[in-house]
Amino acid sequence: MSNQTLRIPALRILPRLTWLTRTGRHPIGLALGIMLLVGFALIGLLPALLDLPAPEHMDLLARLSPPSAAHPLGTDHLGRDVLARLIGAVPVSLGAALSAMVAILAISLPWGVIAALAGGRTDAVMMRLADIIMAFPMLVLALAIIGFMGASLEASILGVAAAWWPSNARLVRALVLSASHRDFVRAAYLSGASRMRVVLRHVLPQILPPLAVIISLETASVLLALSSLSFLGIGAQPPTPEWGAMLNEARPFFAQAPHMLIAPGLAVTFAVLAFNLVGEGLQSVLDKREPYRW
Amino acid sequence: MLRVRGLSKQFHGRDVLRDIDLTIQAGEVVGLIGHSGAGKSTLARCLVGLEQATQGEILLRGAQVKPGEGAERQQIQYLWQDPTQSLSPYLTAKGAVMETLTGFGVGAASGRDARATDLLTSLGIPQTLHKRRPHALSGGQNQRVALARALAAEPQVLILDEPLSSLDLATQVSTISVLRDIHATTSLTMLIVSHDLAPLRQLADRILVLDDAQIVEDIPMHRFAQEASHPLAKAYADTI
Repeated sequence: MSNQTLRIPALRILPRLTWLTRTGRHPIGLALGIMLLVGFALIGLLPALLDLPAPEHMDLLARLSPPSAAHPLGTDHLGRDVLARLIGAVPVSLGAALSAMVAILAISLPWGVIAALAGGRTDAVMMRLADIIMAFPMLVLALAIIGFMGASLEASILGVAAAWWPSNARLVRALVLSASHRDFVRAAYLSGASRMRVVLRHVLPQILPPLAVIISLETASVLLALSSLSFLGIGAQPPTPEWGAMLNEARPFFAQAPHMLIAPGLAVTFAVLAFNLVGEGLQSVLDKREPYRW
Repeated sequence: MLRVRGLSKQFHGRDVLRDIDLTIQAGEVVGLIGHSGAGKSTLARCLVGLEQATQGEILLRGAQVKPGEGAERQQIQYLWQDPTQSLSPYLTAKGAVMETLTGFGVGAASGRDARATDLLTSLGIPQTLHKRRPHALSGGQNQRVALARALAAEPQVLILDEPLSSLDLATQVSTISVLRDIHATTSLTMLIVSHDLAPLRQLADRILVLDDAQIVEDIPMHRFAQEASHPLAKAYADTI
């Protein structure tokens, strides 16, 4: 890589990415996971490029058609193109999982950081509150919130976020506690850094890499949970294309039109696999580097 | 300058420090020596607030202080045993010094960059290394960066916890020279923790010997060989 290229700040990341693929214990898994996620992102752009019917477009004369040139993955019980719905569901399903993960982090990150740094009674009260929520089975708590708000994708995102954040807050707290006891963090405070600067400049950079692993693995679980809720009919509502909802719609027609079930089932499987591969790949790479330098 | 009265520290019911009394005069360099586990580092850490004493008090210029908080955070600086672990992997050498200058508001904001450069250069870190992070510097270089950071605070007391133990012999010699130069030019009050008397002979005005959680000997360096009476102090004197 030429020095000229490295003068462009954004491109300085490139040698580090080369390092990432070179030193990982499972570089193939990590690369495969990243490729799958990039693949999903590209597939999400396909409707703009391909001449596919709208995911909600019904053709009752062609209902339950097997795969053909006109409908590469067949049609569903309302004659909707399964491929169009499958692709249309990419931003919905992955977007819902990522939105839920953002909501989880928006609560758990400050909650865990404040509890760890405050210590004492503040920590005890915050963690006991988290424990109380964790005492409920996750899906039961999510179901209760959805029952209160009414079945919708938005309600299921909030329900999952409400059920998931306490375990993540605990993890964040543990990471911050471990990071804040390092010599250089205590030295930075004794050497004049404010508490805010210590957190932002010395603690957060340490917890972000392991947090990235957790986020990736948790996104897979959240995606499964959201798909499960849609499968039960209390997540995404018709006619919204969503993988879990598509599985639910396909259930009565499994014997008659298995293509309806296979496509969204594989989509969920590969999406979960992608997030898990990325998470585990990052974990194997990061385990050797502590405190994390980047 | 620095006075400790009746300081005790217990870990799990065991006395690590017992009723420690010591006084360090302004400009004095005091060596604190003892076996591993004698409580030397614990005493040093209590003086900067890294450990909380079970009882006792610490006075700076006659006023009782709570180390590690308020103005004392700046006035009593600490040099860690392992310099590499005490420097943030996310900051360059200059960034570490700048953090202290900015954090404590030392000097005018416009002059801090030049001050950081001067401090590092005066301690033997050439400008070509100022933008390097700890993992790209040697142990000795990191020790000097940590020293520059401590000096940037313009402290009244500098506590050095085994400052030579993680360095090779050549770097030990040059670090001793740097510490002597610092004291010669600034008359900075220092407490140097060590398990080895040899470097203290070149640096310290007075030696305190810590054994079994207590200070058992307090003798000026130049009379240490003649006047040491405690068996441990005599054993150290024999190494001279």
